Amino acid sequence: MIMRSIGFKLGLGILAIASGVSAGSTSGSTVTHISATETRGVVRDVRFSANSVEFLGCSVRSNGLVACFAKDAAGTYRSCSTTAAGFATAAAGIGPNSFLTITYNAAGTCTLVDAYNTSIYLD
Amino acid sequence: MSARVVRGLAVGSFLLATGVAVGWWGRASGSPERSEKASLRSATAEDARRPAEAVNRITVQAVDTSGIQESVRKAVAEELARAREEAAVEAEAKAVESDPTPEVLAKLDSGHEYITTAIRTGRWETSDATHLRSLGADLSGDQYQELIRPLVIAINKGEISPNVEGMPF
Repeated sequence: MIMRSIGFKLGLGILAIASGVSAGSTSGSTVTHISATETRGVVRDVRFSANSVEFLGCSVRSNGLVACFAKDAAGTYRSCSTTAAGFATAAAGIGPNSFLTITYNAAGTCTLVDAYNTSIYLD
Repeated sequence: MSARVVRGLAVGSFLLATGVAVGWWGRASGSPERSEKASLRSATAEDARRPAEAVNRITVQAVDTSGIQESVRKAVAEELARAREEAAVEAEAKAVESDPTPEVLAKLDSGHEYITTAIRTGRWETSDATHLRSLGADLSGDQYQELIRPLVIAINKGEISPNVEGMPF
């Protein structure tokens, strides 16, 4: 009986290894995407992209200014700034696993900073 | 049968009849069953009166509500006065902020000129970013944002391509 139980567990273990047990879904496809009104990308993916051109991020200053910058693989550069309430908190929430979305208007004012932190952007 | 016996029987019958009659009257007026029925009837009448009493109560509450309304009116007036006071303080603070010192004005002018020159040349290097940040050290967030706005617009239009390590401003 004991031998049968051990055999069963061993079988299950082999089956799990063979099927490639996964701890959750991941997404590694996105790098910096820039348009006239929006920039988005996963911070970690941009950092480890195949090129050394791209970057993406925001700074939060003690005078209340939030400034965001991004450059895509083609060399397109976008930046914006704001002192509006709530942006500093949003920008402070940016981390390596953030899917960052920044929107801006023609005057160079940031209209949205969205730091989406989720397990799917973890390695 | 003697006349005395006949008279005795007549009196006995009268007394018996009177006793029965008195007994029946006593039961009819003082029986517990009747009392219960009477109290039930009384309760039903009380229930019927209740809506009228409820109406009376509502009327009394309406008088109380007017007192509450007065309190609410007073509280709202106080809150509005406080809000007006706070707005005045804020406006004063903004007026002070929007009235820059000569030093700040000089830095704003210098920064503006620096950025205009950079846009004209189309170049923005790490040393330019460092210089601009040092100029903006004493500026408020709003002042610095207004200073860098022409640079940000020029970058987004592709008129200037920053060649900077890290932040461009």
